[in-house]
This record gives sequence, structure tokens and C-alpha cells, in this order.
Amino acid sequence: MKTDKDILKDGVVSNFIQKTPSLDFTDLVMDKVKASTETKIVVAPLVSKKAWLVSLVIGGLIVLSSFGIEVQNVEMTSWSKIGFQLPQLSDFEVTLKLMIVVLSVFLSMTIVDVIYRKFKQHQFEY
Amino acid sequence: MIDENKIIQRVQSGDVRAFSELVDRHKNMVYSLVLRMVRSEEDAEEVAQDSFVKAYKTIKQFKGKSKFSTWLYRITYFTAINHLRKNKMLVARIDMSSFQANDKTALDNLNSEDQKKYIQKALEYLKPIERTLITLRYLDEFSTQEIEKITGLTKSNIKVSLMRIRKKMFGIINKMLANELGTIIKDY
Repeated sequence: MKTDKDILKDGVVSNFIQKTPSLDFTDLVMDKVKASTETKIVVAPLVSKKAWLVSLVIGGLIVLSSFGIEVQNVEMTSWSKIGFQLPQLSDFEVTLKLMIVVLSVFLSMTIVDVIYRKFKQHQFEY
Repeated sequence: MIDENKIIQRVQSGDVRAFSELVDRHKNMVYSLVLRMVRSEEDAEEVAQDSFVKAYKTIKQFKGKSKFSTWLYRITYFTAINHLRKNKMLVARIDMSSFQANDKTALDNLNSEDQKKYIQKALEYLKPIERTLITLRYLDEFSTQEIEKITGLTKSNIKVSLMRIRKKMFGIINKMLANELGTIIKDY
């Protein structure tokens, strides 16, 4: 004879797996799975926007200040002889060198950042 | 039939297509489990799909310490709970204070079909978590240990909850039968 527990069990599990999902269920899941794998991975940059801004300001200030100092040191004669004549580039040797150094630093920062992002992106791919 | 562990290894090593085999094997159980929790076929389909997507995304974390199905049903269970919580559907449909918990039912007096009908109706009045718990317990596939893993509840918690759910169901069924009897008497 069946106990109340057995009756309850029969009733609870009856009809449990009678309803099945739609016929294209697997395809729909796989579409979602593929879409989730194709999602572009966004890697945070190594050098933040704020850091870039600070570096640009510092770099700019260094170049500008050296230029300002050198302008004062250039002989006034070469400026005043003819009004349109610009000073020689060689007069700003330090400024040019500093500009190259600053630009090299920016270039290095960009390259390191690009390599870092590529590496990180590759790490997430599977 | 290909060994499930081999399919899992293939998926873990990046074979996306192999995952469809896992979906095919478990979709009916996952769907049924979700349907029992959310009660709407449309929602059940969506939640079941999301459960599989979550399983795919975290399959690398599956170390084989439990059965794959147990691991998958745990993801399914919590995905369904999140869905219910988001839609504020975690509570029972009715105020349970009108039903008196009972140890016994008058189910014995009914034929087998009616018994099933009333039990199914009583299930509707339970909270989704209670409905799932009693279903998992009565499905022969799951041991108490597996139910612990799926639901995150302790063994004693499951035992106490099941006892309470059974009494609640008997109470609901008795009330339903009493109401119907009252209606029949009135009609006479």
C-alpha cells in the first residue's frame, strides 16, 4: 500500500520532464555563446588619460622653458640686422635636444601601451 | 556515445562546437528545472539559455570534483533565483496563513489521477525554492549531497525544509478538498 509520502512523490515528479524546450533551443544557446566569445575585449590602457595629460604638460613646460632661456641667450645682432630674419636653428641646440628626448619618451610610452594592450587582449582569447 | 568528460575537456580547450553536445544532453532537465521554478514557458526558455551561456563562460572553473550535471544545475538554480528576484517572484502566490500545515491528507480517498492533479495544484502555491527543493528530493537522480551542492543549503536545512514543505502541501490539499466538498454539499 502506498504511503502519503509515496503518493506525494508520484504527484511531484509526474509531468516533470514532459515539456521540452523549443526545437531550436541548442542553436539559440550556441548563437548566444558565440556572440559572447566574439564580444570585443576592452583592455584598460597602461598609461591613463590623466597620466598622458600630466606628461604632455610637463614635457611642454620643459621644452618651452628651455626655449625661453635660449631665446634670451641668442645674440640680439642676428635678430636686429634684418627684421624678417629668423634665428638659426643651431641657436636652440638645447631646446632641440630636449624636444627629441621628450618626443622619444612619448613614443616609448605609446609603444609600451600598444604592446601591453595587445598582450592583454591575447591573454583573454581562447 | 562520447564520454562526457572528453566533451568537457574539448570545450575547456576552446572547442566551442563541442558545447552543443552538452546542451543537447542536458537541455530537457535544465529546462524542466527552470520551468518548475519560474512557471512561465517563455521565461523558462530564456533562463535556461542564460544558464547554459553562464556554464560555457565558467566551464574552465569546472574541475570535475562533482558531476557535470550537478555543477550545471547549480548554475541553473541560481540563474533562476536571480531571475525571480529581479522580477520580485520569489514569494508564494498566496497568503499561507489561510492554510493549516498538516501531517496527513485525504489523498488516499482519491484515484491516482486526481491525486496527481491536486499535488500539482498544491505545488503552484509553494514558493519557487520550496517547489524546486521537493522536486529535486523526489527525483531519483539526486542524492541529498547533490541537492546540497545545487542549492547551497546544509543537509539539516534540507531535511527540515522538506518536512515543512510536505506538511504545507498536505495542508493546501486538505483545504482544497474541503472547499470542493463544501461546494458539492451546497449544490445539493
